[in-house]
Amino acid sequence: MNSWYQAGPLVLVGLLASACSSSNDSGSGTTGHAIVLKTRVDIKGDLTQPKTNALGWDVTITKAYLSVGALYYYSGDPVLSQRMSPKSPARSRMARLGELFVKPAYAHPGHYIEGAAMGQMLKSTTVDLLASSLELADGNGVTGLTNSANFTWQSPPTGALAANLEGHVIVTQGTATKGTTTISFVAMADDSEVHDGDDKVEVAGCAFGATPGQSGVEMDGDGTVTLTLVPSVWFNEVDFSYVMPGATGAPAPNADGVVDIAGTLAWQGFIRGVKKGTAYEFSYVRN
Amino acid sequence: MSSTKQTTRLLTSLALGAALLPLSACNDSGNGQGTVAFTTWGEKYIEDGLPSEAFLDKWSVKYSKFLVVYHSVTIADASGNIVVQLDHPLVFDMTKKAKGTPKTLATFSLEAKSWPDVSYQMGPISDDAEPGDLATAADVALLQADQASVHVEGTATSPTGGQKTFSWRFSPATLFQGCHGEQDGKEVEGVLVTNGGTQEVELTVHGDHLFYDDLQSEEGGPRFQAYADADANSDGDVAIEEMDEVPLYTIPIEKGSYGTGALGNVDTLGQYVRTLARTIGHYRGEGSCNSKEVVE
Repeated sequence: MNSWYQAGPLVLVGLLASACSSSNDSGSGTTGHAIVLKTRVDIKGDLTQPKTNALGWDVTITKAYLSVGALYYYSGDPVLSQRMSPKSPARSRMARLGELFVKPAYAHPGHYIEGAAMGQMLKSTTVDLLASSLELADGNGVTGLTNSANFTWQSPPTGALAANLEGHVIVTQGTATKGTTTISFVAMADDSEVHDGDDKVEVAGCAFGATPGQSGVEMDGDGTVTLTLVPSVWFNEVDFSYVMPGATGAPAPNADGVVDIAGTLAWQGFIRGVKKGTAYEFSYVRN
Repeated sequence: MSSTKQTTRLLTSLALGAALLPLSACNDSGNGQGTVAFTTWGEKYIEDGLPSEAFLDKWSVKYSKFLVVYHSVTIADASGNIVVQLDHPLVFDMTKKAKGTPKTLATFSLEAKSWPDVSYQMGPISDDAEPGDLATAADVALLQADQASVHVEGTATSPTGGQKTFSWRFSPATLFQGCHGEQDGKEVEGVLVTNGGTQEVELTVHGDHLFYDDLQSEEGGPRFQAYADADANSDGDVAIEEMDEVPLYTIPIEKGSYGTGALGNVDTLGQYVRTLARTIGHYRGEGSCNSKEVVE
């Protein structure tokens, strides 16, 4: 856990404290109020059905576990976003409010700028991606326009299903088929392999909106934040031809005929996929 | 640019400023008036070249052309209302060195106070674009022909003396907003106009950014070897179309991480360099802005 994570709750506490004395700032009285945010996870798509990736492989998943750490929600636009509609007055006020406690991140152009802290869910757990939707712990936040979120991995994994990860932050198993070739594979990721460019175990600048994949929603009361996981993004750039029998440097399958793609170019495509913000979509609905 | 044209532009800008800021003339705040001059500079990296010491893999780059079109250079008030704005797009060749005074976009008269909302766009190119200081009508026509916001040409030299040329055009316009930078030793949002004073606001172009090996990390740096390797037809010129054929996951880590942060749509080296092109705009030297692709 790094210092920012430690500071995160304090920042939010400060924001909440300020919100209590500034509820009239908006005129409408709809910004800056403390709210409770239930948290749930949805999985996009049926992983047990073949999904064709960008390289023509039909990928079917038979096992998938993910370590989920803290989730943070922000007013800043998602990373390298497109120009959006004019900012609402409420957002402007919230941004200014947040800046009382969050030093603006004067990032390099193109870098994600978080803006004001708008909410968080701090309890880590392990998720079975083949299970139905599930509830995570409640989080908290403040009302106001929210545009982006940070997903973090917890390492070592925690929760009732943590043993399935065997210390990794992601474990997947499945088959990939192209033409007459079918490869049984396992693809895993460790925390040291999913660090971002700033050496944090997170995906920073994911979209947070009214619907999954969209950015910008006014959190106007107690609500539910849904983290929609899109595992097909993880596999979209995985070229399984690098692990086909006979391919140069292809690892040998185990006794069950399953090949661990670790260290191959197929695995490098997988690691790039798990770092993409489009695999982690956040949305808010008022309860 | 001729002095007559420069004078015309100054008068136009002042007139536009007056039109957009009707309260300025009858300002009763007692703050007085000051002047903001928007200028641009590509630093030595664009004017003189990037030496091998600047590259992690010891290549070097010399630009022969670096065209950008400035659009909608704007100062807005606290409510987001436009107060002054560049009246038409201006094209600059950042390789051209200014003699004496810096290359200037426009000069505006404003109430002396803090103006925290400064933004500008690179692109789009349009029919009413004109050459800025030291640029030519041919430069404007070149951008117009490709509907490009940025056009760069140059030569890269390897540590062993081998050379590759490049000629790249980048089309999507980029909005740089929420600009902040150092003024008189202090970090300032936008610009602080002082009574009777003139503030030069330099829109700085960072030519090294087109070669950075990570879109997110502050630890990254310029490299060229992976770009050179993309020259699939070995004709000595690295085309963006060739870079489009290089998946990022195939680049060995010793040639750069080519990390993409959380971006979900950058899978090839061509997409990567197009994304880098949206990061070249800075503010008052090392200051910066929040950049976004402009969707027309």
